[in-house]
Amino acid sequence: MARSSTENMITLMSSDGEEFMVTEKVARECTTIRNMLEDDCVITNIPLPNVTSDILSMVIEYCMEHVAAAEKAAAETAEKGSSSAPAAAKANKDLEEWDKAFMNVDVYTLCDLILAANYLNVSGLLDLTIQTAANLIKGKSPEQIRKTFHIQNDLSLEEEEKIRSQTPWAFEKSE
Amino acid sequence: MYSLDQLYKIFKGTSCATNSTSLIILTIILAGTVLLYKKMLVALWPHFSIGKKKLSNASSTSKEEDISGSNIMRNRLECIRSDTSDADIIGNLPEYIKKDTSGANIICNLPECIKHKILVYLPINEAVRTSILSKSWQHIWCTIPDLVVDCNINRIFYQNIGDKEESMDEKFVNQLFSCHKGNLHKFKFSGLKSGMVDTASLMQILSQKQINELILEASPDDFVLVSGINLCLKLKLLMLSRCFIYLPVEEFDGFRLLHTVDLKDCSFLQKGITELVSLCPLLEKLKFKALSSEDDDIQIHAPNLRELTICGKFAQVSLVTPNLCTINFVRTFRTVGLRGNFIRLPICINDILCYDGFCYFLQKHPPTLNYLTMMIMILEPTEHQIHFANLSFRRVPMLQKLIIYLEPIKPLSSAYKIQDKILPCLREATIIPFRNSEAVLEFAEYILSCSAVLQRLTIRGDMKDCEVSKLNKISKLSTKTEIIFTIPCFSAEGKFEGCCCSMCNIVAG
Repeated sequence: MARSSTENMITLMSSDGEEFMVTEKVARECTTIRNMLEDDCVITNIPLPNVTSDILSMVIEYCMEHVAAAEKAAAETAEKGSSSAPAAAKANKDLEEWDKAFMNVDVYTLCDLILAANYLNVSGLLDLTIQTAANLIKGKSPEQIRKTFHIQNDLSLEEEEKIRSQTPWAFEKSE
Repeated sequence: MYSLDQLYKIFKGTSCATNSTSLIILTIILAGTVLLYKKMLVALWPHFSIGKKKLSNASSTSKEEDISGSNIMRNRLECIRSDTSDADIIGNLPEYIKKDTSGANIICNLPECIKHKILVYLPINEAVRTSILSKSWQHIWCTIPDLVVDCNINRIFYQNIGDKEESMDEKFVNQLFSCHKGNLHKFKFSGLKSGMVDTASLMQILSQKQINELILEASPDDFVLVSGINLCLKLKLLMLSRCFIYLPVEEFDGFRLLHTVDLKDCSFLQKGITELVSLCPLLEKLKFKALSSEDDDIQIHAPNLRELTICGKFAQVSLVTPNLCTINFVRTFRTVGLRGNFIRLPICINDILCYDGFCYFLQKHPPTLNYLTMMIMILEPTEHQIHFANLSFRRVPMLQKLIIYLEPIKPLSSAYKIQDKILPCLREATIIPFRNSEAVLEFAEYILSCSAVLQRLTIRGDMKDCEVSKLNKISKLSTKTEIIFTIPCFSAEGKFEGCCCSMCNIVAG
C-alpha cells in the first residue's frame, strides 16, 4: 500500500461539480483520459462535462475493480514464476461475476453508463454495457422491448405492415 | 406484504395528482417507516431519486439538494444493485415518471454508432426486428456496419421450409441486402449450405458495399463452392471454412489491402494457395489448413508475411518471406507421413524469432538462422540425418531451447563423436524417444558434450537404472547441467497419440 501514496493522484470533476480523486493508474483505464495525460503530463485536474457524479462514481468503481484484478494477477504471476491456469480461470470468473452484479442497474443508469463509457472510451465497460443492453432486447417481442426502454411506437399500422413484408423472415416464429 | 402493497398504491395514486411539495412530505413519511418497510423502500428508491433530481433542478436552495449528494446516490445505486428484480422496477414505474422521461426516451437518444453496436450483439433476425419499434429505429439496422448471419442459431432460414428451402434462403439474402444501405465493414455467414446462396452474386453485392472483412463458414456437414471473391477488392481479412475456392487468376490485379487470410479445410478448384498468396502483396498473417493431402509443392512469396501456419501434407514448402517471425507447422501423425515433408528456408531469412514447429533440415546447405532461439525437430539417428543435425546446429548459434523427437532405427555411435561447442547458448534440451530408443543415451551424450551452458536436460522416456547411472557419469561440457527423467504420457490407445499429447504439453508450456 506504500506505493499508492507515491502514485500520482488525478482529480476528475463531474458535470455537477463533484470531485473524485483517483490514482493515475485507474484514470488511465479511460482511453480519453490516458490520451489527455500523454499529451500533457502535468495535468492533475480533469473536468468531465458530459458525466454526472453518480455515473462517474460507477465508472471509477469499475476501473478500480479491473485495475485491482489485473494487479493481483500480475503479482501472482511474479510470485510463482508462471501463472497457474486454474487460478487465472477462477480470477477471471470472479471478475465476470462482479461485472454481472455491477450491471444490475435500471435502463436509465445503463444508458448513461453506455454514454459515459463511450465518451471516456473505457472499452471493457463499453462492451459490458452494450452486451447488457443487447441482452435486454434478445428474445423479446417488439412490445416487450418498447416497454423495457419506454419507446413510443409512432408507426402507423400500414407502415408497420410494410416493414414486416420487406423482411418477413425476421418476424416469423417468435410472434 | 399486504400493507406494503396498499401503501404502494396510495403512493402511486397521490403522486400522480400532487405536485412536488407533496412528494417531499411523502418522502419524509416514508423515511419514518423505513424500519418497518425496509424492503419496500429498496424497491422504491429509484423513484425517489428521480423525484429528487427534479426538485434539485427546480430549486437549488431546497433542502433536498443536501441529501441528493454522492453518498445518497451511492446508497441508491447499492440499493438498486442489491435488488435483483430490476426489470420489475422498470415495468412498475409510476405513470408520472414515464411521462417525465418520455421526452428523453433514453435509449433512442443514444448515438447511432452505439445503437449499431448493440444490434451487432443480436442475432440478425432480432436486429432486423427492431425496425418496427418506432420511426427512429426503423432505419437503424439498415446502416449497420457489421452483418453476422448464423444459420446454426437462426434455423428459421431453412429448417421449416422443407423441400423449398433453397429458394427461400436465396430470398432471405436478397431481402437482407435490398434493405441494407451503405457500406459494410464485415460480413460473416456461418452455417452456409451448398446451393443456399449463389456466392457469385453475393460477392457482387458485397463488392459494391466495399466489404473489408469476409467470413464464410460452411455448415459442418457440408462444403460450399465460393466464387467471385476476386470482386471484393477492398478485402482486408478473409476467413473461409469448408469451402471450395474458385479463384480466376487471369485479368485480376490482386487483393491490394488483404493482410490476413485464414483458410480452414479449404481446397482450391483451379489455382492453389501459391497463386492466392502471390495476389496479396500486403499479406501479414496466413493460416492454411488443406482439406486433403495435396502432394504439390507450395511456394509462399510474401514480403510482409509475419505469421505462417500450415497444416497438411505437402511435398515441399518453400518460403520467400524476409519478415517472417513465427512459423507453425501443425501436422497430425495419423494423416501425415513423417517422411517426405520438409520445408526449404531461403538463405535470406535470418530473423525468425521463434521456430515453433517441426522441421527437417534435410537439405545440403541449411541456412544460418542467427536469431532462432527455440527449435523442435524430429530425428532418425541414421548417419545421414545426424550429419545434417550437426550441420543444422552449427547454423543456429543463438539457440536456447531444443526439443528433439528421436525415432528409433538402430544405435549408431560413430556420428556423435564430434566434440565441439556447436551449441554455445543452449540452456534447455528435451529428448523424447518415440519408443524406448537405445539411441537416447548416445544422443544425450552428444548434447551434453557440445553445449557449454546447458542448465537442464530432460529425457522423457522409460530409462533403465543402469542407463541412468551411465548417463550421470558422462562428462559434461557445462558444469551446471541437471538431468531430469520423466515418464512419457503415452495413452492406451496408441503410442503416436501419446506422443502427440506430450508434444502439445511442451508447446503449450
